[in-house]
Amino acid sequence: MNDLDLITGLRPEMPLAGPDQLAHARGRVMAAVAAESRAARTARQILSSGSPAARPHPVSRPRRSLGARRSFRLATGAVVTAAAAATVLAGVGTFTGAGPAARQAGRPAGQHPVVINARTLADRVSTALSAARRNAVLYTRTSCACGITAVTREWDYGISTREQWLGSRGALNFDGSAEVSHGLRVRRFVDYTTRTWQKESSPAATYGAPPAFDSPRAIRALIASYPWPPQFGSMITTTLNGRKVVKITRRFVNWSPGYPLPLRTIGGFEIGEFPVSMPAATPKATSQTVWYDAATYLPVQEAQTASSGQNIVVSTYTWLPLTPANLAKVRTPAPVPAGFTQTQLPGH
Amino acid sequence: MRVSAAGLPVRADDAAIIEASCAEPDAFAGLFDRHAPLILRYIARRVGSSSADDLVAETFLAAFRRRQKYDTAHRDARPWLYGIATHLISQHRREESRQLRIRLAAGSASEPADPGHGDRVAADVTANAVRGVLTAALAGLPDAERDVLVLIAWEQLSYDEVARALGIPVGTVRSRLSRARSRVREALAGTDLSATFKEILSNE
Repeated sequence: MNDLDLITGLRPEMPLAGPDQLAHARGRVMAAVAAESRAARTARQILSSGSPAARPHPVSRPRRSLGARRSFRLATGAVVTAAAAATVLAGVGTFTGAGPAARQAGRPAGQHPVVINARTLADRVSTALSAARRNAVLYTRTSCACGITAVTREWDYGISTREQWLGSRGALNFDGSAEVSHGLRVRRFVDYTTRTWQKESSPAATYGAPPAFDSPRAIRALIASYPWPPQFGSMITTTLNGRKVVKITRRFVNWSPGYPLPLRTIGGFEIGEFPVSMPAATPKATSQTVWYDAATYLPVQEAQTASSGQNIVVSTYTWLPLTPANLAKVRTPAPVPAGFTQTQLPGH
Repeated sequence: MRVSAAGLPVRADDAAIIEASCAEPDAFAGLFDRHAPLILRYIARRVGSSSADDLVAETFLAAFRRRQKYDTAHRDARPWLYGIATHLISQHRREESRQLRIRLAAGSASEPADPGHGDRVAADVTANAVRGVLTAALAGLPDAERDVLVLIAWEQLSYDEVARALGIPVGTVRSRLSRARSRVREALAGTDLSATFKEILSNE
């Protein structure tokens, strides 16, 4: 016998608890499990049925597939400057003030905010995005006062992308696509401003699996900042266009002008910063707010906002059911109008 | 439940349950049913039965929330659960200290089992005295050292498992354990029980 054995001898001997003794604890845990199961089932049902919750939202924001973004930039000659590292100041936790659309919608009478634990929210969002990655085409509409581009529309599924940039009057400036065919990821860029187009292909395998989401990182950044100030410990649901959502905001420092966000992904889809150079007078985005559907836990809107409160970029996310028609939106190559001249991509 | 090549049901390991629960949260019940009794006993030993029920629920709720970060290379989730529980216990140090004081008081107040036999009485008194000193020494340990000592001595975790549970290198586990044992020995050596203690050690 040694001193360690003596310490072991101090161990209070007690039998292992039976089911009755654990019933209360089990009930608490299983309640959380059941809540998440319901959320996951709801997300799957909505995504598979195309119910109203999956329909588009009348707002906007920025994104782009990595490969397409690079080539778009090359094709347009946009100046690429590395986005400065964004530093999460104190994570998330802005609960006041609704988004641009929500300000108009307001909260329905009699609806009270519900507090959701941030960690629970992050897990539910992750679960919902995992399901959406396999079962949905992501449609994004973004608005931004970014030079000649006022709106972008983008459809994503895996590493396939279709993207269109429109001017302030709705005219198509650029149309791009990246689809997978016979082991190749074929990208096509059609520039309506110069009446030229380019094509490029590379082995699809080099892209690997779609990356994990970034969207939950907004929440996880908050969680990583634990211990939180008390007001950061939970999220509050609010409404956006009459839909109940969970709103989460993180603040940044050192955004480089013109590039509100570094490359990120949502739902397994690569999303880049807005690809067009912004006017020099564009204020820096100092915060990013994402609204999550309180039923599906999928992101439905995102806004990048300057310290003045001005929205620099606003995007809406729509999760389209995986139907042949929706897949066609993402897998149809950008058409080349007659009379357009094929040119080489810069650097190719 | 998985089925073996021979068609026999195979008991899923913890990592498989956790992995499955990411897509199907209900699967997490399997992890609770498998390990909650063990974790409850661990917590009860440290902070008493009154808080153990809530803390075991908190432990598994935290595990459920973090399950997507679980490293499935570790097929046995017990160290992970012990780690979460230990972290929660650290937020209840006062209760743990109180629990140790209660044990200390109970030990010193306990009566010999059979007061009719002189040798037995003396042995019981000595044993109680040693237990009292050990309990006081345990209570006086730095929290980090007590965590390591208890996980090894009471829960029989290996050094590697303790390292995983507490998120520290194995070398740190060894050094903390070594320091904790030294403190315990010093506490005993500083009493008039040192001769008894040496005698105990000589019987190894």
